[in-house]
Amino acid sequence: SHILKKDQDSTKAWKGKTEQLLKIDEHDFTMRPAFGGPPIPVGVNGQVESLDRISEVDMDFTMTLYLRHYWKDERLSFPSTNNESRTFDSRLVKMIWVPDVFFVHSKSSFIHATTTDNIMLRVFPDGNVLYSMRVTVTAKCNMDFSRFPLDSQTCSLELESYAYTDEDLMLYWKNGNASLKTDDKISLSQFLIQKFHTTSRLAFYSSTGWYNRLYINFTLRRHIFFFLLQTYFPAILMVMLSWVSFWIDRRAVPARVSLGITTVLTMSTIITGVNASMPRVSYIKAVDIYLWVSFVFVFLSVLEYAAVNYLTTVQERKERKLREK
Amino acid sequence: SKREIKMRKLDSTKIRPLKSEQLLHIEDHDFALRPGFGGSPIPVGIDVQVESIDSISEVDMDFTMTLYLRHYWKDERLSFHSNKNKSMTFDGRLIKKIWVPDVFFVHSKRSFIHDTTVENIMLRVYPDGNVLFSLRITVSAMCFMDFSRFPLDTQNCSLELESYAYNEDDLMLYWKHGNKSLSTDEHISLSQFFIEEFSASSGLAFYSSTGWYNRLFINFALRRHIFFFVLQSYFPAMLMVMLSWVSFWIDRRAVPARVSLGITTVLTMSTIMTGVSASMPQVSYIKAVDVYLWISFLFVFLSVIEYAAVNYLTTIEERKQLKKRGKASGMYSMDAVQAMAFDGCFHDTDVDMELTPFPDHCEENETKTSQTNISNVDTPRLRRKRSLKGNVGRIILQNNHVIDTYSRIIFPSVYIVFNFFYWGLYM
Repeated sequence: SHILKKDQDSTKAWKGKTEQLLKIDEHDFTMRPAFGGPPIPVGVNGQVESLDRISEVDMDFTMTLYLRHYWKDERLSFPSTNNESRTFDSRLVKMIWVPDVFFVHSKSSFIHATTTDNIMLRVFPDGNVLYSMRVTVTAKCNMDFSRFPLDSQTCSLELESYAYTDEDLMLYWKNGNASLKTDDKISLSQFLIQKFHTTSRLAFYSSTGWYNRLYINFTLRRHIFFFLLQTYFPAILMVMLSWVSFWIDRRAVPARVSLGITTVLTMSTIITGVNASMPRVSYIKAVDIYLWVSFVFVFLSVLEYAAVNYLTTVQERKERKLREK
Repeated sequence: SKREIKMRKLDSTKIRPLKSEQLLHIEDHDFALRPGFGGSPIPVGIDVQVESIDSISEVDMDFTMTLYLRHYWKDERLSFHSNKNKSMTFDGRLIKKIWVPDVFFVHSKRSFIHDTTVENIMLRVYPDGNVLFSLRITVSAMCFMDFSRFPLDTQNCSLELESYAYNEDDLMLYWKHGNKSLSTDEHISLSQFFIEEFSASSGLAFYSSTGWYNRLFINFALRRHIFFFVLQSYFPAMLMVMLSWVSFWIDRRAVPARVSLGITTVLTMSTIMTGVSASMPQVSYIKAVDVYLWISFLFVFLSVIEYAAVNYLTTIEERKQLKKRGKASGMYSMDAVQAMAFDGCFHDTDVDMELTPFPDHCEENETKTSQTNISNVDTPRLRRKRSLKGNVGRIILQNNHVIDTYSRIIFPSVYIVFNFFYWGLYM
């Protein structure tokens, strides 16, 4: 009976708290590893969970990704017999040093916090750390609409350390070109995502120096089918309808005029409809060219009938004068 | 004495001269480490009660759900001594001091734990160390939707739960009561959908950098109610097509009438089509409602083209007739009703219409014709009555172009056949 009293509590076998397992109180974690020495290399890799939306009007995109950092901090090494890593809670993040990566040109972002902060910290016995988080970020993307809707947009998400320059922290893609993975089911309704690829560069700030910057680039090609159905086909049909007027007897004045003017009205409605969901850019878009040229055709068919009507009236007056003589 | 005993009411919190930390011995353990740290994975049971499905958005392709999420596990560090084996219920503030599983919703866009009036969290600890941890959460998660059969479609969505940090070797997530772990409030209903079924399933997910994780799925299927779209899109489209058939029964000489009827039905169909696309994502394939609206648009368009053909062929016919009668008169005879239909001016009697020019003004034409018909002035009334009575038959049976006659039958029958095919295929 005495033996069956309590199951062994393995945390008690360590005879200490995490702080004592990892000896956190003995070091000052406000200083980066190897402070004062060579820059610490921090590897980054990521998995894109989804591209939530692309907004033309705001010229931005929203992406959710798992962002993982890898570095070595010897102050966190601990003795271990089996060389297995230990997984810790997000509360440990506040007590140790972690890289301060931020997203350049981001408008808003947050780390998901349901049911608890979506953060993982895994420490290996030799001091290697894996720090992973789930982040949703909305970032700016300059879009060029001169070939809209037959356009391709290239956007990129940029990662950089906020405080540490090139001499303190070296940010790099951990697996080179294979650092960025995507879920199989990433898809957008309006775009085809052509490829994700990673690059890195240095960025210079005149006040603070050179920083490593990592880029996640992707290209989006717009599906034209929706615009064919919504804009191009109705415009083509309206132009064809305006040609019907040429086959109707020229004496049917009300008929030809109402046909012409109603097709002009419908073209005008189609043009307004396209521009409702677009930013007000200062150059002409591909779809504008098509719609305005179609509008000119429809407009000219109205003018054509005005000319026919006028010349017929003139002809009729001449004939009447001849008959009276 | 007795009076002293009655003076102060017994304060039950003072009977236990300890705080809850001392009840649960929290300071003695390190709760940053999971139960069974370094040993076998800890099993965590999950139980869900869905309170409501708040909204389904086609444009964003997501859904919002509010649910009670309950976790069950055993942490012996929390066991305490008790005579009655009753559980103790604690506030949400204890969460920060002990270990709790870090479940998150995969593919969620936004989520939050309700915190009115205080955080909606319950922690219940049993004397043997079993813990029940319950939360009320609203989560918006992605749902990939396929609109190729919209609005006669059924969407399958699922909410996925997984631990963020602990993989299969550390934490085993499972449905506590198997298939019955998922329960729903009775009055869950959506205005636009019928919720077919809720089911629970589980699987494993692999991340190349971090390993295998247990994932639990809450699956549900939503079937769209078609009534709204029937009322909003299908009926108006059907009525517009039927209106365009009215044009075949109108005299072919009523040019303004037939043309404006055709063109206005085209305009209305165009407006209906724009209205449907307004609340839909801009997908790259054709939807069931698009098929119906575009084919109806085609019917309406063809009725305009049909009248252009009829008018053109009628004009040719008239010219041939004119050549036969000779060039001298330059006129042909029309009865009053037909003349009215042609140029929109009121004609009292039969008129002779000149072929090439058209009247400058209706009244001028009238005075001209009345001069030529002065001999008929005695019996205008009788003539008018006669001409009106016989006119209905004449409009319908005589002076019909053969295209119109066939169109009256072909257009409706082809449209009805199309409807049979469409509804048979999609429903």
